[in-house]
Amino acid sequence: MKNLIYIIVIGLLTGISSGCTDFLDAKPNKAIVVPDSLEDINAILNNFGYFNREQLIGLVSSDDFQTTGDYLETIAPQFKNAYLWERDLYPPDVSNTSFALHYRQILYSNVILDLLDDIISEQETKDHYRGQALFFRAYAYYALAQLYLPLPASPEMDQVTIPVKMVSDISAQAEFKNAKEVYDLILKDMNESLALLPKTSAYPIRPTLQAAYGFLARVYLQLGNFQLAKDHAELALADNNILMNFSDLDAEKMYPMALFNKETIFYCQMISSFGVTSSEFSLVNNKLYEQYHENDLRKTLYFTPNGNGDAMFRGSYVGNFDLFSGIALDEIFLIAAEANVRLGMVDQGLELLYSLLKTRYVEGKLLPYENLDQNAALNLILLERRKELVFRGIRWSDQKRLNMEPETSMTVEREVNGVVNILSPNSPNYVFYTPARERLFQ
Amino acid sequence: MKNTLLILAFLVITGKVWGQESALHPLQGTVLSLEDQKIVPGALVRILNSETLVFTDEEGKFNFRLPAGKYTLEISYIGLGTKKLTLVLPISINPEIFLDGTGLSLEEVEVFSTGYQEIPKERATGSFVQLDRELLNRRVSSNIIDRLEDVSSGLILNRARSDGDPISIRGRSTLFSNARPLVVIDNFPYDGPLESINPNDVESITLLRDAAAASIWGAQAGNGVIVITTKSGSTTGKTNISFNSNISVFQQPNLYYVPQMNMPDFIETERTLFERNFYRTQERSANKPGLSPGVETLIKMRDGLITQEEGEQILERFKTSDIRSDLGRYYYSNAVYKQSALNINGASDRHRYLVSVGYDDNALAVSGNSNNRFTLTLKDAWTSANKKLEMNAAVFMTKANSIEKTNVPQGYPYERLADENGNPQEITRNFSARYKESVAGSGLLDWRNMPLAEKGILDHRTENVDWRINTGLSYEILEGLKASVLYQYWSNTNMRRDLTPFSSYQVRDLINQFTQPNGDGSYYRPVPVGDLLSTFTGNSISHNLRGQLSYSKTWKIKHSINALGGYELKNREGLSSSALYYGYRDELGLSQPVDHVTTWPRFHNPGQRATINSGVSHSGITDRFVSYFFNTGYSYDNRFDFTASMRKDQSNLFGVETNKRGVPLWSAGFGWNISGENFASASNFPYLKLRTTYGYNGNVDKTLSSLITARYLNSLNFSIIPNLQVADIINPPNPELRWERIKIANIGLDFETANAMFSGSLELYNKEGIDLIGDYPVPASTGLTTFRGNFANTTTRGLDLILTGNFSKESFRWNPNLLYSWVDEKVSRYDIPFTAAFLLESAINGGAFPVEGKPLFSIYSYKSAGLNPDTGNPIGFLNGEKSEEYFAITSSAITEDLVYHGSARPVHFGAFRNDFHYKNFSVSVNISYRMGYYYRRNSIDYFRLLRGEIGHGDYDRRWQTPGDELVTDIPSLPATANANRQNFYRFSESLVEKGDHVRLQDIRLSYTLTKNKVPNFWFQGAEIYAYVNNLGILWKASDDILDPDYQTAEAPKSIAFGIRLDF
Repeated sequence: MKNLIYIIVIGLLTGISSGCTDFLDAKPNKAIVVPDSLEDINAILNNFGYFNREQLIGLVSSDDFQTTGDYLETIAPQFKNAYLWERDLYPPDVSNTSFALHYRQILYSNVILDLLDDIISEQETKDHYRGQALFFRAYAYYALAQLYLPLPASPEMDQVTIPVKMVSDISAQAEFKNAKEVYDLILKDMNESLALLPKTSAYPIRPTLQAAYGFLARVYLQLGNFQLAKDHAELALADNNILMNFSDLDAEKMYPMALFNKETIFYCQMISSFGVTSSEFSLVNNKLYEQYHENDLRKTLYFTPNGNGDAMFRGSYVGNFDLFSGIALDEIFLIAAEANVRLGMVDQGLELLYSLLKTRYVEGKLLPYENLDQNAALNLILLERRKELVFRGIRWSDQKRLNMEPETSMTVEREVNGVVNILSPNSPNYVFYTPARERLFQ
Repeated sequence: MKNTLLILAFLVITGKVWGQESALHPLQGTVLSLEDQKIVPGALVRILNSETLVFTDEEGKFNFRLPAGKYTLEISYIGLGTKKLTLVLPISINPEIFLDGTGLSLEEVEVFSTGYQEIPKERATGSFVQLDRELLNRRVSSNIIDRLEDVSSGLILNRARSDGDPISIRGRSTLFSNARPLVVIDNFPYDGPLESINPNDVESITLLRDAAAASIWGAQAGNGVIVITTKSGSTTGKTNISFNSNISVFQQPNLYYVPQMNMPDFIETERTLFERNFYRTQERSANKPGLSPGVETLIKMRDGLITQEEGEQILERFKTSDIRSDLGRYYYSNAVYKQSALNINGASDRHRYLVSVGYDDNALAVSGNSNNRFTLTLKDAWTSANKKLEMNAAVFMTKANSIEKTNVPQGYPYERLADENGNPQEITRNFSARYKESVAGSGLLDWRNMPLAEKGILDHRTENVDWRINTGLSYEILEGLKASVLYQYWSNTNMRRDLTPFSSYQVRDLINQFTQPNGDGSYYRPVPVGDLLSTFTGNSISHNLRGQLSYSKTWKIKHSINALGGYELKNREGLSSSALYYGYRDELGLSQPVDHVTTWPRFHNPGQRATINSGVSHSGITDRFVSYFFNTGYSYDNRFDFTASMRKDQSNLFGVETNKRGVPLWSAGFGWNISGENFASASNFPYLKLRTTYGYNGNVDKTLSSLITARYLNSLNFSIIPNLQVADIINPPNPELRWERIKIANIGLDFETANAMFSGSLELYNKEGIDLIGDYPVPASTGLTTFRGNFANTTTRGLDLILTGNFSKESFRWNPNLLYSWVDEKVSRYDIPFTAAFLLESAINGGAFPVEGKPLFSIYSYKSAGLNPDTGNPIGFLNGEKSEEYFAITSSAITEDLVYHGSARPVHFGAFRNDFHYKNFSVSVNISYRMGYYYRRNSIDYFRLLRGEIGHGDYDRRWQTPGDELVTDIPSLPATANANRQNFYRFSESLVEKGDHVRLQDIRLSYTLTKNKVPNFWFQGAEIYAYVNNLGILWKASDDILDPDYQTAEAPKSIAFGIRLDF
């Protein structure tokens, strides 16, 4: 009897305690994981909804874009402010900013880079993912620099900083770095990624070696380092340089360009905003529109005239009203052409330009360029660059860098409801303030 | 005997299915004389209404074994008189009965059930509130939770913004973790929908409000515990049958409750916007979005498709139309709820049983939509011949169905659903009328949207089947030492089957959107013609197992001990999946396979591509707990009670190291029965008890992890790469993560005056929430905009008063009952910086925002200086100066610039209930009150109005000409949509109102007959009753025309009639 009582007591008190640890190891929710494998990292890198997105602000503030005063009242405040070059873009209570988006890309990249340190696995795949995370981080900082930082060569360089985080720890304090430091970080990440990136990927949402060369060419051009811009553009063109022939495209289609077409090296699109990306009032600068020649296929393939002499853009490489902002082959041709000309190799530059443009014109209607001096060649290339890369989100950066030299600087005017806004070449309004919400934490 | 023991031991060790609850419970007591405290041997103890009687032994003790239930004992001894005592079995104390020679007096032993044990009121040190059957039956409702409102002290149903915490017990003890009280039914936590509990099956409810009680439930008890005890078998030995049936009729929803601006004003606003070319983007958009009929008319007028006169005539007609009148006429009616319940119970010598069935049938306010519920309960309990072994088993089944036949259509405010003759009319939805006209006749499916023609054609059904199987086994090993094993199996299956017929607009529209022109005028339809069938199946199962040893002993009369210890395991798993079938033919049970991979250009906008939604989703959750508990009570001389409890809970927290998975919690309590003291025995208080507890509860947030976590998903069907497996980081690492704890101190005084004229209790408490977890705004440069961690502490002080009166004269009895609660909540620590804008933003979105020294739910506003007399613009303050720089005001405001009004939740609340009984009639009137809080009322939103949405009725009272600022605080209509001006006005002082009000909540009338009084009556007892609910507001502080607690829809008035019969 007594023994039985013992058994009961012991059974009650200890019977279950063994095996508890396994019991409590069960995952509370099937859909969640602690990412710790290359498969998990691959899935995070696939998250194109976060990684392959860019802000739309630069398009609205650039002189590519044009709209009406009435319409301005109907679009989100940040776009109205961008259009009027107000330095404070966002109301203070807005947390969903494109500023936040780029830092989210940076966080994801940092998380991947930190995780990769702890994963013991096959080296080649690990390298590919590390290279891609470095690329995404650099790409995000570059996007931020275009809006919130001046160029390193600018006189205001020292006065403006943005927060920089290079580790995944949320609680680690961000360091505030100026333009030169940020561009150095971008170049450091990118140069490291060159040795790691894969040559190809299943979809252009994932960076490849060619994308890295192309992006470096873009960064060096922005910094005015024409030699390195030329070198990287030429490396990007070394393997795959087949352009689309615009004569083959169907102008009857509402959006003639195909998604992931063969010129797409790295896919990125601007965040959609109904008011800006698919509106009838979202117009291309009409002075620019007038400059497309009749034999220029882009005049019809890129634009839909609205009957009032204005035109809307329809030539996005996304294949719909979303706007492509990634890296495409045509941009690399233009970088190579410009860099060659700037370095004095005018003929080589013009030849590159010609090989691009002949695919853009009615066959046989464009004659090779001859007898242009360096200055004329440069102006020609800059104009063609503007026409080719319209609505790609590149123009705002171009305006900033071209203003660094008096010969190419520009004054932009915008009339809104009878008031003329002027953006002079050295205007501080080329650099937006970090969003008000962010400043509240400082 | 030996075999039985072996079986028991075997079962305990292998951890199989067993439970508690016994068939027969011991009732041991001692009879003493009050005067000299001496035992009284040979006293007669009789159980009223039965043949049972015994005499006390040499030690003055008596001993019964009885089924659970309520009994009245009559104890008598010559010279010492007679005493009656009512008590409820099972009971864990041994009552001591004092004969005082003064004759008849009635004492009732109230027993609290904690889900682990029953504690008599006299021995309790913690804060319990008990609702008996009568109180629970007072209100007529199909939902048990509704019946707690305004009758339970310290509990409040949060009417405004109740998502997340529909019920609060003594305020809110967490920021953003689970804020719901734990619900325990018959010994185990219940994870299913509370709607599946039939209130007719409930015997009593006990609320556990403090640490003493709540540490019994440990880490799940941070928000208080609601313990529901269901009815059990007969107590009298004979078979009882009772039947209850009622019908409730609800007032038809009043669609005009929230004022709306006049239709002519709205149409003119549309005209203004049209003239400003506001609609041109949408008019020309490739997406062909729908535009209101007024705008379409203006377009036709502009384009010369109709003459100006024709157009104006149409617009005039719109000005007199209102979609709400058609909705009221064709879609809404009185909801009617019918409820019936039958309960049969009985007992034989060693067996007790109960069978109950219930059926609820509710016709909802939207015509044709309904839901119903069937419940079945079977309960049995057996006792061995020597009364030492007890076994019980119970099965609870609920099947709830809902049927939706009609969706209420969404249309523009002045659209007509029917013409003068009641014929269905076309209304605008996702595509413009112009576009639809342009493609009409091109071979597409009929693309017209005529909701009235589709009324009642949906076949959307859900079925929820809930099973609970409870078993228990207990054995009394030695006197006072009992071992028991309890087991519960629970399963809940939720199935949804939504059949949307091909004839519905939704399906025709979907097919048309995916239709692909072949180029020769014919079409290919990737979404096949046929019905759309959407299904969802969710299945949850849980096992609960508890083993416990309990010991109770009284010695030398004065000492008694009551201890309980054991362990508990819980495993709950849930799986769900859903699917979508196209081209379905219900009569054949066939659907057609669809290509979910190809991205198709949309018919209306070929630039937009999408794959056909597969509607497939899967989910799975696992919830596990391992707990150990120990609970003890020691009582000395009926005067002092000491209690202590300890518990450790461990759970399968994700990504947490083993040693951090658990949290140990404890509590201690002390009670002093002052009326038991000699000095107090002659006072005016026959019963006076002081009690206090101190200890910790916990709260767990299982979505958190100290490690980084990611969620897998498939990319959307309309994205650039459809159905790609991607992962999203949902939880950044947080190595500092800790469990939330709530430290509670409670002190209470129970009292009763002579002849029980007044009785009640007063309790004071202090709760401190420690390391509370929440989402906080962080700089976007971290990569997130909010972050979750242990950032805050809260302090809650409060008071709960219950005061009951008992006055009677001849056949008339009056029982007033006053409940008063005061809850003063404050955030006492908060680590993260924030701004005025965050505060207002979160106040509008969810309500909770921690500010040190202020309640979690607070109302703040921008200081306002009225309206500009020249323009009607609202005036605010910027750096102390009057200003209309709205962007600057709203962006630069810091917390100190805001006006703090007060709590957004009632600080003082309660109810004053009066029960009157005259002969067979009873009337119960409940008046509830909520005080000391504020709310932000709605007003005209000019920003939305100027984007083409109809606005609030305040538009009519807006500033229009200089001088109006003296009579109105509603700003003028601005020239253009100005988000900052609107933002300022929306959060300005002028829209904040005091919420204080007194409400006539309900009245219940009843007429009761019993066989005792009417010998020829067919039934043992019968009651007919009527109940009216939501009678209206008696007084409110604000002059807002709307009810402070019902800002978006009226509280529906209802009336119910019912009958209850006992055979």
